[in-house]
Amino acid sequence: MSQSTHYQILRTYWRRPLVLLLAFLFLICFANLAFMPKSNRYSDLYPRPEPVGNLHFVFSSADELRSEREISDRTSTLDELLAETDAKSIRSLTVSQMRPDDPLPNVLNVPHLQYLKLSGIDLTEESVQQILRLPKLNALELTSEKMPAGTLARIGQQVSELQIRSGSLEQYRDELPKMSAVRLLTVEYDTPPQGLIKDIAKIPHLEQLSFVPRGHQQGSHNALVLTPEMQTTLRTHPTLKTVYANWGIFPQQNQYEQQTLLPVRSFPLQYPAENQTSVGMTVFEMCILGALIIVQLWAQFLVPAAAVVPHYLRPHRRVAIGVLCLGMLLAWLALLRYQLDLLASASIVIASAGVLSLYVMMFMIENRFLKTWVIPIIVIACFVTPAFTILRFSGFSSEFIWYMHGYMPRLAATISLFSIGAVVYGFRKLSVVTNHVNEKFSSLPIFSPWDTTKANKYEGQQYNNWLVRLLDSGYQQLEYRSRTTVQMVSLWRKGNLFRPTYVLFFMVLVILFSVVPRILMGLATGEQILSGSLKEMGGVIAGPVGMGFILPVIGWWQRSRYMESESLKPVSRSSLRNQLYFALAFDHWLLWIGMFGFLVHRALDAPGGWLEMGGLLLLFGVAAPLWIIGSSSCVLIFKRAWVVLASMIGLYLLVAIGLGLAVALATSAVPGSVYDMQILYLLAGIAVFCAVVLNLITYRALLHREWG
Amino acid sequence: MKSVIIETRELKKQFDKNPVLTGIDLSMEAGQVVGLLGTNGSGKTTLLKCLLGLLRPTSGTSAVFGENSWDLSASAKGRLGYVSQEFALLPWMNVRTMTEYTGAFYENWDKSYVDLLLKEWNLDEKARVATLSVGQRQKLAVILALGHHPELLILDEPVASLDPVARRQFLKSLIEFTEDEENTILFSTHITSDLERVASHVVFLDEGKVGFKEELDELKNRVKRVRISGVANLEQKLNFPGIIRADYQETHALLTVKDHNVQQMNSLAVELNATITVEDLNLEEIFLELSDHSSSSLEQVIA
Repeated sequence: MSQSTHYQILRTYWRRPLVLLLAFLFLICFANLAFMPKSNRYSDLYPRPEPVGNLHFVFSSADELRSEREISDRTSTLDELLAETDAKSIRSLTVSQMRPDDPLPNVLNVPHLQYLKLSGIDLTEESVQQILRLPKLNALELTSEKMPAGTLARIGQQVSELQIRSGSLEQYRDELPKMSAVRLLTVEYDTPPQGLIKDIAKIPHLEQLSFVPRGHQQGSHNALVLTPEMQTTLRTHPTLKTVYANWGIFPQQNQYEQQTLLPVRSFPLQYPAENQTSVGMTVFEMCILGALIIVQLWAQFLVPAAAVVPHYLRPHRRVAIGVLCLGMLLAWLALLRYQLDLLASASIVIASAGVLSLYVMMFMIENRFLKTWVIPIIVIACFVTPAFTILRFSGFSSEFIWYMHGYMPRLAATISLFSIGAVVYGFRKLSVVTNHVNEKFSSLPIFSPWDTTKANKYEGQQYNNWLVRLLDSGYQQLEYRSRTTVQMVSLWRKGNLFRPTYVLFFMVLVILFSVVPRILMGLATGEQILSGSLKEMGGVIAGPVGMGFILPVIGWWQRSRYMESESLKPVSRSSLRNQLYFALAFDHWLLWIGMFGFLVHRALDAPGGWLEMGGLLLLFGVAAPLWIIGSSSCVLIFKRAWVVLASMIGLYLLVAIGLGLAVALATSAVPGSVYDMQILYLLAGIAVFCAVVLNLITYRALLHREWG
Repeated sequence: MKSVIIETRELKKQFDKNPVLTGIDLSMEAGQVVGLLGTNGSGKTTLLKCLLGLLRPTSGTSAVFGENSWDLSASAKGRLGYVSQEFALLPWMNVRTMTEYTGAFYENWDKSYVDLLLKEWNLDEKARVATLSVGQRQKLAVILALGHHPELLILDEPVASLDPVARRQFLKSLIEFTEDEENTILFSTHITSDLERVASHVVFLDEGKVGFKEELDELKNRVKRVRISGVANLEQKLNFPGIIRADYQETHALLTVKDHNVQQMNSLAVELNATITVEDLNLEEIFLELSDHSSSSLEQVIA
């Protein structure tokens, strides 16, 4: 095959605006990864006792100097908290000391407590007895070193997660072997507690151990330096899996510890935030690259020439592989900037390509057995990879860091080989696409130059499912009544496959499935179910409503393909504009439920009270939905896919820039302060103005749309 | 005098820098059935879309029912029906829901007429639109366009995908449609035999202009093929106006002439001592003869 053939094929890539747009997005991600200066931000990596559900804060006693407003906020005593909140719903509690001689409030009034933090409160025999009588207590944080003898032995037989000062451990080191329940121990220290290592190693079932300098003061002066004897002690512990500490400068020191502590893994206390986001962004970057290649191959392989011209597929495949390899190389080089392992970085890049390849093949594979295996792999890849990079799941993130720094070379090699296999299989099977499409598709999906009028059995089967059949009932007794805008909007919306009510139904199911277990649990434990969990419910509502944002866009984009004929229905141009615009806007009504959910969620935390809620309502209840509607209307205004995509991306980039500026402006404000409120209302006003202007522009532009 | 249904003046349309319509002057009166002919890329679909207001003209004017095409009122739109080349139908609906959904937009939707056509054309009401064959979808699109008894029906290659039986049914419906209600039809097609059955007028588009617009019968009476067999070489002697095409083989000549005149042929036979046979041309043959001429010369040829 001549070089000019490959060059001609390559030219088809940059002749398509959509491909150029995707390439531009890919290069933005690449430039961001490769050239953006590092922020030196770190995230805590070490595990610590985790609160369960909402964390409530109380003081050991009332402060007479507090104002009325403060009393109404969270700074209450336990009695005040219990007057407002059902005790059975409180799972996590922080008690801070108000006066030096304050005793521990009666925590036995909170029988379902699972997490307790005592900040500055000295333990007495009475308070220890109280703690021991909390049957569900599993996690305890103590910041005072004062406690009666025998406390560690007794508490250590009840809680599995413990955070404690090194002084307490030094004082009662003989009790440590009795702490049989403790699996996770976080030791806070002022001076590195090397002398404690031998004693801590006697905790029989310890799995995760962290040494944390107070106030996170990291540096060589408080680094934990282990003698060979200490290393052996930790290494030979029967259950210990991970140790987190300030080893000095990561990763050089980590390399040293990795060699000496294995099979116990050693990690730093903190990890650079960019390293995590770089992996996430690389996966996103590879998705864009994959979309670019798929869009182009889709177009090239669907033309009839693909089926009849000899050796048509081979050069196209080579060019696509070339583009993929170049993109992968760029992504890999950018990732190496973050001092990650060569093989592990490569495996992330290759695995992304492999998963994409499998994703495409999922639609093409005829073999049901293979299909059955491909789908779970994709699901796992899609859900596990992001979770892998989130530090909150410390188990995951530790594994991820371990992997990314090259300590799991076999796994990296296996993933790489498997992914290369998937890519090779995908490219080899591309000829199937041509045959498959010729036989089964007719009106090919968007981004395809295929003849849309060809017969289409596959598509018919697709629309023969029960969900679509449900729609049929909505057309019975449908007849001309009148021409009010509301009725016409309703009629236009009936022509859509997308129905927000279906999504709402799905949302209700999600909520039900999240509430029903709570009800059952409540019945079993006698707890009051919904009080205190309203905040979580807000999150539950807001989550699925994301679909209310993207589905109308897809639905109306699909619909706009049929508008040539539909625009000739007996409606004048200006009325058609009104009706379509409002129909599109109305299809976004789920957004308002989502925003309402978000506001409910936020209301429970708003330090500014109703004033803040008003500002948030303007921002998220008015400006955000209006902006989304204005952006979504691009699907009606523009004909070409790449223009729609580019304009929507551009509009949301504007939002991102605006948010960045807003965050910069608001950083100096104190939450709930007057200045903070002024900024909030200023931003809300600007946002509403911009959203209204955007809608006016798009509304006017729709009048000039050529539907033919 | 019948009312003017469609009227364009110097209608031009270009996409980016590519001119497609370069100055269309066209007028159609009520009751006319006009077939729009033209080679691929001659601008037939673009003209129809400009007439319907689906595309905005670059310059010139276009009016339907006396209203600006780009800004047709609801009542004007209610008086026209359109079947596009893609006959875009919502694939997730079934035939019944598609007709009910479309009918809900029209005040004068004739449900019984639609049901009759569905039955005559053997369309399964429960079938999902996406599962219909191309021909069946085309039938459905035509039925949807006829359901409100439009005064003006515009069809862009409406029979391209229909089998002979369906085409015959479709043409029958068109004839009934015009005979019963004296409606106006403008349709583009490449199947000239169908056009001959129903069209009263023919418009020939060439390079973005109207090559000619003429009554079909008149056109067929005027354009003829003439075979001449003489005794001497004819090429030098056959030089009279109105010859569209001429092929010579020594003493034989095959001419295509416009404005066929019996007397002129008789005197020519005597003058050349030749035998002259005059043959009728069907529309396809006329189309082929004429499409060899550029639009500039075509108007002169036909004029």
